[in-house]
Amino acid sequence: MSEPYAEFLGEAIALDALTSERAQRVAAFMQAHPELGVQLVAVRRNKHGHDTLVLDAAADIPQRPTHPIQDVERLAASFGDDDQLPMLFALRADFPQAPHTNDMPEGTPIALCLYRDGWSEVRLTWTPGTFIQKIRWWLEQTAMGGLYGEGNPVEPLFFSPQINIMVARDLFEECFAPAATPGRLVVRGVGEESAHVWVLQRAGEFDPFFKNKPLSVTFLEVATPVIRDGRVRVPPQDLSRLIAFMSEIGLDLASYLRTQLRAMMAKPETHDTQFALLVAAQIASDGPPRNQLMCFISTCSIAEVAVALGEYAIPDGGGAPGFLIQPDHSKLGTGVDLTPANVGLALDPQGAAELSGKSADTRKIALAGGGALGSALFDILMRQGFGVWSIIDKDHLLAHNLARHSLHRGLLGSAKSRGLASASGAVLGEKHKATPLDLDVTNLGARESELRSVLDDAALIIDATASAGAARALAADPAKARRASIFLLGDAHACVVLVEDVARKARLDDLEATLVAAAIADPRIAEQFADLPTQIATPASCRAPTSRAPWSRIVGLSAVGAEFMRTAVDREEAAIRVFRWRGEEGMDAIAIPPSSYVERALNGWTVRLSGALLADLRLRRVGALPSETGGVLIGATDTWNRVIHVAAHISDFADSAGTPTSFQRGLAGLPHKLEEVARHTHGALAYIGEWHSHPDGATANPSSADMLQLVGLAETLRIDDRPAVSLIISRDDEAVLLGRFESTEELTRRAATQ
Amino acid sequence: MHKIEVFNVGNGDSALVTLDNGRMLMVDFCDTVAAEDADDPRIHLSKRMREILAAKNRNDVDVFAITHLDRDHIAGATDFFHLDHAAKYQGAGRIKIKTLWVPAGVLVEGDLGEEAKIVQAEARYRLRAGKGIRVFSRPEALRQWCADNGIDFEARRSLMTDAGRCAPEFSLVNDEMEAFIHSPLARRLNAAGGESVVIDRNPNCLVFQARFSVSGAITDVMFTGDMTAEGWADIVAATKEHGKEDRLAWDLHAIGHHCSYKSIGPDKGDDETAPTAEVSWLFDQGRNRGYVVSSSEPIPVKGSVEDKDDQPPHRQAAAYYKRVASDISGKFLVTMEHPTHVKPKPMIFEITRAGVKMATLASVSSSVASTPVGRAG
Repeated sequence: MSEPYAEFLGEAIALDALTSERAQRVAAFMQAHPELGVQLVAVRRNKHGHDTLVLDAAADIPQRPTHPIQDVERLAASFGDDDQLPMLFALRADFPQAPHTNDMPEGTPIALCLYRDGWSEVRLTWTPGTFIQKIRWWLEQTAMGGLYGEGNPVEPLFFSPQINIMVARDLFEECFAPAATPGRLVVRGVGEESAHVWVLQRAGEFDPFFKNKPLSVTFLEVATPVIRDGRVRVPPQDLSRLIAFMSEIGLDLASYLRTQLRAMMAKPETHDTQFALLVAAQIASDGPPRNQLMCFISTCSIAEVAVALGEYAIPDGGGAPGFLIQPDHSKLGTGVDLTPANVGLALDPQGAAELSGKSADTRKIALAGGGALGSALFDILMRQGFGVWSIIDKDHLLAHNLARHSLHRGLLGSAKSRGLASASGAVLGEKHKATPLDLDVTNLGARESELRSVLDDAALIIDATASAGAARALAADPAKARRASIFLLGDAHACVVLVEDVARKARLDDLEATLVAAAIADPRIAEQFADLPTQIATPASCRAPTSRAPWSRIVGLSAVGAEFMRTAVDREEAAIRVFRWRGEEGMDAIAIPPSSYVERALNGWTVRLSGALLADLRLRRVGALPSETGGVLIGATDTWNRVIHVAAHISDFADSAGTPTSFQRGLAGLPHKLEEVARHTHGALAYIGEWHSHPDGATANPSSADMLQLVGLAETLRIDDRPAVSLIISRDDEAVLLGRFESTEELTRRAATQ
Repeated sequence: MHKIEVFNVGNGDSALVTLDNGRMLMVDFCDTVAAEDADDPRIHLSKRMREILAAKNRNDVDVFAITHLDRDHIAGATDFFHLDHAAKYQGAGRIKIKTLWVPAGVLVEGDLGEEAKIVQAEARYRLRAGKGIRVFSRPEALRQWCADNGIDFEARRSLMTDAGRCAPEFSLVNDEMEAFIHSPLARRLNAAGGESVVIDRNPNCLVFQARFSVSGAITDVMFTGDMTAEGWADIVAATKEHGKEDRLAWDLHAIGHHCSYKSIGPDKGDDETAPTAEVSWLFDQGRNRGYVVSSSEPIPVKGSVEDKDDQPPHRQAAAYYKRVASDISGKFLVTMEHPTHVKPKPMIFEITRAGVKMATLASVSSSVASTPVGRAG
């Protein structure tokens, strides 16, 4: 009886004739350690000159093996080039085609896939001892069915070919649909030839990045039956072998192709296109079958394939192939070469979301601001397949921007909005490109309608403008969309994310007022405001549009900011976070409880009162009963938009005096406290007026004393030309009064309009 | 993973079942090796057991099952285990027994050896205390002994389990293992004479089937003490009578009495012991690729001094077991021959969803984790 695989194993050589150091070491180790149960049987050198050790490996095979591995298996360990893994082959002719075995060319035994990694990793811990033990481990685990258990990815049907073909999702779905209609497509290589990256497209489809000359193919599609054996095979490289393989797994490919080709040959324009076959190989797994999608492209034309399958024949005198009334079905595709290729989806938002471990999200987003922070945020979220974007920015990309921007110098002088839009097209495909809008939200002029339609259409408006004015305009815009804002503090040592609640009871400007008010009591936040390069006058201006900050901090902070914003917009409630850059310690986050605001319109001014503040004042009113109580109001006055945010109060004065009918606010410590407010909020918040309570039974209507007090307050604030606020809290209500001295001109103008 | 270690203790029995949940069942204990005798191929059991328990951070076993009071099943147990009944068997280093399993005979037998007497005293103490013991079968003799000693027999019924039932210490739900009791059979004990304290130990020893269920896959292991062919006849008959034939199925059969022909049939035979009909049926219940394990000295070569000795192991019995194993493509293994005569080691069986799997090769990490390294200077 001849030895199985004798030719493959090659000539017998003496043990001391081994040239591979690894083979020598393994042989010596086996002989020194018979207790390992792996015995050297013969030494060979195969036709490639590779030292090969034939061995009998005993392993602890369980009583009821999942795959019929025997207690002792004859194997061959082949040691090729020093930079290659040793190969292991099973020499038993009926060795099971178990998972993690590799189908080899004819005359070559089944190869056992011992290692997941390549030699460059394996060699770091490889010893003859671990090699021998790994062989036993493989046999035992395969027998136990353990190599095919949870956590191990399902093996593909075919070894991965060198060529990767990208297909856009819609075309992909069309091609791999059940009973897909055969059709004409084009294939072209992209990038460097050695990378073997191809693109499959519809004829005439445009993509600015793919410029190589395309090949015209006509494709057919088949799906295999579900394959369960877990083996990996060498993909066939000609049609006859592919037909033979498909027939082994129960698919009559030849008949299918003949039927399809007959139909195609009826259309002369397809005759000369190249033949391509898309194969969806279904592989059994723990869950639903997984697909390995392959494309076999031939240099043969459709007509040539029809001839090779015996449906058509070239007439004796040459010329165009003719239909055979009696087809020759002994012809099974011999001579039709096939180039196998992997088929994968071109990246699109859905794929990007999957790769990011996120769910795809197609909400419409208007992003205002495509500067350093805006470009980083957009780059991060767009690459997660999040959103269908419009980008609003009037600026053009300048040289100095490049140190801190996601775009490159090829786009210098382009509107940042257009640059970012084309960058998203370059990542996600033309179809998923963002819409650019090169305008300034604070200075629209004739282009208001353009902005209007974008904002009205958006589900989310993100302010990344680094501009207080733009933020204010966006906060107050009549669009219905929820809003979020992200901005950096100081030299990008912190990043703030504000997210409105779904009902917009806490608007962006309210959230900013809450944030700044939090600094009064929280030195961690105060410290960040102190980092500001310039004095700020309103809560919205705690930004540093130009600063010396590296891209690393901007990207780092925008990354945590973007992750947080994405999470927060999926919840209903508002959110405020300050992410701090802590140098070598990384980053940390401070959460500030957002407050809703209530609005009062008074004499052309809007007063927005913090709900949390009101709740606190009400508690104080009850606590002081039967007497009145009160204190100082702290807030921000935006004189341009005529909005006053009432955000905080100072009320615990030792020398305040309340009776059931009156309240006299004290002074003790006030100068110091106001100084603190100014310092901690970096001047964003200041004294704006007074509050006091009315006892049970009284309304919130001001008394004559209250009116007199208001006049006094207005007089005091006259020097800043800001109104004074007086807030009266009763049991069931509150009254907001605004006191302001108006100039004669103003009075006249107002009288005229009324 | 559940593990069964069958120790190389010569002609004797010692096996340790360690369940996946950490619970431990020791079946018999035979430690006759002098600590200083490094040439003895038998394992120094108490030393090895202490290592195993130390690695698991334990100083007790959940169950210690004594199949019967013969010396080769209890030797050294009274030096190794902590015994509740007397202070002199207590102290540092002794291993506690949560539940002691004994066949009823252990409580009532007379004419005992020194160590057997101590074991009996412990069993009696535990039964009197009403805890830490399980007695298999309820013969008249036991009822009588309780009456004579002022022990309320009925009040201790929960500590007794009859043949044909599973011992409550283990369950498939909690442990993936249950122990179905085959022997002793009360009717056999009673037949020996109501008040007789002379009990034929071997046919009345503890026999049980440990059934494992791993991911729904059943694996059965028979622990059979020194069961004799006559005893098997009664067991097989009773099992069939109750339609519980599957309780005699086996994947691993720890055969009785160190490969004595008496466990197979009445005559040793020249080359192969002929089994009784019941024993033949019993060994037909072996599943494919099952294991037959003899806890004994190496099987003697024909014509050797050992071959002429009356004591087991008997070559003819081994020939029968080898044939049984071969018929199911299984293996017949002998503790003192595994892996070699010269240097036997405990057999380690793993119970997996693919049935019994031997573990002949310990990884470096598992070795380091379970055996002390040499002293460092």
